[in-house]
Amino acid sequence: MKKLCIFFLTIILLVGMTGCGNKVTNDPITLTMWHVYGSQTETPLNVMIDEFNQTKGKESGIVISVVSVTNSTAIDDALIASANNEPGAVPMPDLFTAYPRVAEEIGLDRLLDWSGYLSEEERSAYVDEFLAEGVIDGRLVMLPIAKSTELLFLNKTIFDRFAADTGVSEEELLHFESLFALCCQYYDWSGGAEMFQINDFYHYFLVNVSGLGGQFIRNGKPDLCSAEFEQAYLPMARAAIHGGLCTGDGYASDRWKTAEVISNIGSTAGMLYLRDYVTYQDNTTEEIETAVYPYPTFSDASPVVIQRGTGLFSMKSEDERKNRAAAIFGKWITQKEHNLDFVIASGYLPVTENAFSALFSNIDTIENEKSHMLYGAVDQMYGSYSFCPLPLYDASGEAQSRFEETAKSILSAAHRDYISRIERGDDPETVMSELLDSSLSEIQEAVER
Amino acid sequence: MILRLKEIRSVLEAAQTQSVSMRRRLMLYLFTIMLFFAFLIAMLLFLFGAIDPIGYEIERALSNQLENSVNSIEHQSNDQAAYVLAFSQQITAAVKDELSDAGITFNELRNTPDALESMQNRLFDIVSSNMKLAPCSGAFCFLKTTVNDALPDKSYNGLYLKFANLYAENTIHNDVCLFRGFSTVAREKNINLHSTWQLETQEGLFPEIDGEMSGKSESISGAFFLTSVYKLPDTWESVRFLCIPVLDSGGNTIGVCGFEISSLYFSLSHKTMGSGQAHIFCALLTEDSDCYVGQIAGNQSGYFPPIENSFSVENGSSLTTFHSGDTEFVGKTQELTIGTTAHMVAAMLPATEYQALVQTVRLKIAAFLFIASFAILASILWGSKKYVAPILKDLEQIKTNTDRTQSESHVLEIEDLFAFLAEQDREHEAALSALNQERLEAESRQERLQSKLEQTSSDLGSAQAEIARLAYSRKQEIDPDDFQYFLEGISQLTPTERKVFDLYLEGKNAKEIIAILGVTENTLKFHNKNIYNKLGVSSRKQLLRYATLMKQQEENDQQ
Repeated sequence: MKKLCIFFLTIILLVGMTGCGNKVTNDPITLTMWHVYGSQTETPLNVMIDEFNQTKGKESGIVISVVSVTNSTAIDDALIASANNEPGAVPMPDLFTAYPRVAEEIGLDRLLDWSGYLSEEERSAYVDEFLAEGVIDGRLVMLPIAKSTELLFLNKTIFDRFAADTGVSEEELLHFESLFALCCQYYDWSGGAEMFQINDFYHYFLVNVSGLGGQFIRNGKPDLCSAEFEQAYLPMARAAIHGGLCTGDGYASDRWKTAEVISNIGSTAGMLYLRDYVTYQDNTTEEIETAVYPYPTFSDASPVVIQRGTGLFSMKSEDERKNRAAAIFGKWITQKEHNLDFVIASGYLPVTENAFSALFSNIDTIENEKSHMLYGAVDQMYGSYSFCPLPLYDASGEAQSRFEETAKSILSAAHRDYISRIERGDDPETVMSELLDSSLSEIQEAVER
Repeated sequence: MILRLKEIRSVLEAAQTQSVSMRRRLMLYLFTIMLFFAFLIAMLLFLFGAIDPIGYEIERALSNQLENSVNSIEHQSNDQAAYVLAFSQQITAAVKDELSDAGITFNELRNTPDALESMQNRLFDIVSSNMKLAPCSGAFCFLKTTVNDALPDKSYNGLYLKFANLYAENTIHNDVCLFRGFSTVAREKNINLHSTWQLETQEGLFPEIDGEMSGKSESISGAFFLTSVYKLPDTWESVRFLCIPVLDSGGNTIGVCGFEISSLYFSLSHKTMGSGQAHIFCALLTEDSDCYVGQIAGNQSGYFPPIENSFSVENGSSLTTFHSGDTEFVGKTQELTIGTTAHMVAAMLPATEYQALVQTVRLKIAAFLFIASFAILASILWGSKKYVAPILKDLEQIKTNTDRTQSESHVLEIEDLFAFLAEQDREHEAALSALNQERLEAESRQERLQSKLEQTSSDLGSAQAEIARLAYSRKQEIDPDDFQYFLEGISQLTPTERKVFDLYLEGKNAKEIIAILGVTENTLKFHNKNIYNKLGVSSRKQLLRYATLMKQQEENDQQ
């Protein structure tokens, strides 16, 4: 009887544990995600996430649900609004990709410290500099999943026509002095079209002031009073004021579509958005050839280039299963083969040592011609360029966007002023000289405020 | 099942007919009673709606979600319809004004980039403001004209704006980008081009809009419709359009305007609440050939189902089954007409999850029944044991204990039984004792009678010898007439006289006859006198002589 009782009680206990719980045992953990890879186009990260959901995710009971694909500027605003529960804001996603600059604003203690989920061996697999970029106050809050640097892209088809008419050469694109001169020349040749766009003026000054021996960020803010800043500013401003260097908003890929600009310096990932054809006002299109060059330098400067790229953040959850699920996804997407698939499809650089060496030792095996050019150009820079990450300081994100808007606004106004004064018959060189001085002063004052 | 019932019935019948222990019988009765009441309670609970059939909870959650989703989609569609009517009227007026200002006709817009660009600049604010007011992810106004009709691919000119970086239903903070239209308009209005921007919208891309372009409407009121789902080329987005024609003053269709509802926007707008563990989601589906295509809204938990482009639908009795690729879903549907087009709203969840939930309910019921049965059985076992044990103990006492007065029981009825049995015992003992006494007396009497019998036998032998001697000696002396008179007189005797006569013949003396017949001596004398008279004798001695003679004569006759 006693044995019978024990038997029945065991059965009841087992039934209770397996069947009478409130949870369905195969209930998957869903992690919502906002990311910036692909924006409005077909996004390679979504393809990878689908693969994860079908394979490792299914096996581990994890579903990554992409809620929004946006860009790195818009995501900052949305994340900060959500983090601060601003009116109209939506709940924070479980996972998001962003620059480290948002970490402080969201609150470091609300973010998952990835290091708790990585073994020593796993940590050591990442490129040290990439991993270090995500460490804030000793906590690894950003896991690198893809990095990028900046390159020069050229609509070679139109440039060749320009070169054929004017005798300029592509080599003049390699140094900023000659590149900015080409901008002015192109503006005149094309009857007022812009040739070149710098996607991010902040980056431009950061690396070139550094290359010229100065320091762009000093005492937690941009320093616009150094000789090196002036040295980097003046040729650039001359091209902008004359015309030929675009100071409009938006990415260069926008104007690339309509040949409003034919070259730009921007992220390697920008390649994804650079079309192989341009569209004209009468809706006719022209196929173009794209060329990719290493980041230009000033003739007497050390070559420095930005090391950029958002990383993966996870909101720290009280549900430990969610934290572990985020870590599983983070590790999966940075595994050599997955990381290479993702970065090659999207124009980024891998984040682990073995994926990095695998990519650059096999560039010739990359079938896509544009990708081949892209990694070829990056390969030329490795070894000769210094890679400079974005410095992190108080409100660095806001300072960056304010600098960007200020520079573009002042230079645009200066360009309009220059054109109107030339049209009025003023001496171009005198006007230029005045506007260079005044614009520099304005920028210095605006940023100083 | 019927066989099994028959088996149970035969067992019960056998139990009734065969000798069954009291405990087993009690268990059987208790079990039957409990089973009956459990069944009765279950039936009553079911009838009064306190318990539901398996899967009912999930079906109810699906029905509730379906109702919510239909309301939400209908409400949004009504808002969009209200805005799109005004939108169309504003476009009609703006086109008319622009043509008037430019001094051209609508047809003269064709192949004229500057005029079309100017038209787009005028329409931009209308499109943009309507897009920001209406619940949508984009707005467009296509005109039945083109900037270059020499191109092989035919297209419509017009503006198509979209919200960039959509991440919430609330679009107030979102930038606007130009999806279709002149890039110069984007520069003028300080917005960016969409990553997949094109100048015009290719014909054939949205067949339902093509169809509307070539139609003619007398009135735009009620002419709006919700298209099927289209994949926007080179993007990850799928969209529907809530469209309405744009008419000129003659009622001719000169374009189509409306709002874009991207799948992302739909998903953000109509997220389902979910129900407990169930990943219920909703979909707005439109029939397309043999299948349905549509937009999906995931669940608040972030769950979004793995869906391919289309569903095949199988209607069941209570639930509808949906197949999308290798994945199967179950849910409920409701028809919904938006403008002039018919659609279907569905609330569903993965079939595997539904089955798991049903299985869980079944498991819970099985566990409940198992535990309840176990508890009932254990109670019956324990109860019957406890109930029968004192009775068995008392019965054992009855078997083993001879002294009933010493027997004790906690069962009142058995206590009474003990008392009754003790009384019975006492009565039996008294009867036995009386019987024993009687037996002893009988034995003693028997002994006495035996000796008397022996004496009597001896006396009888002597008497018979005397009688024989007398008979022999008197035979010659007896008058035959007297003897004949004696024989005839016997028949004259009364029964009592005859008894007395017979007793005399048996050799009894007067004293013994008095004792045997219980009469007085006088009575006997009276009987004797009568006997003597009737038989013609004068003494007992003469009587016995004639009687002996008669016996001898009878014996002789028999021989």
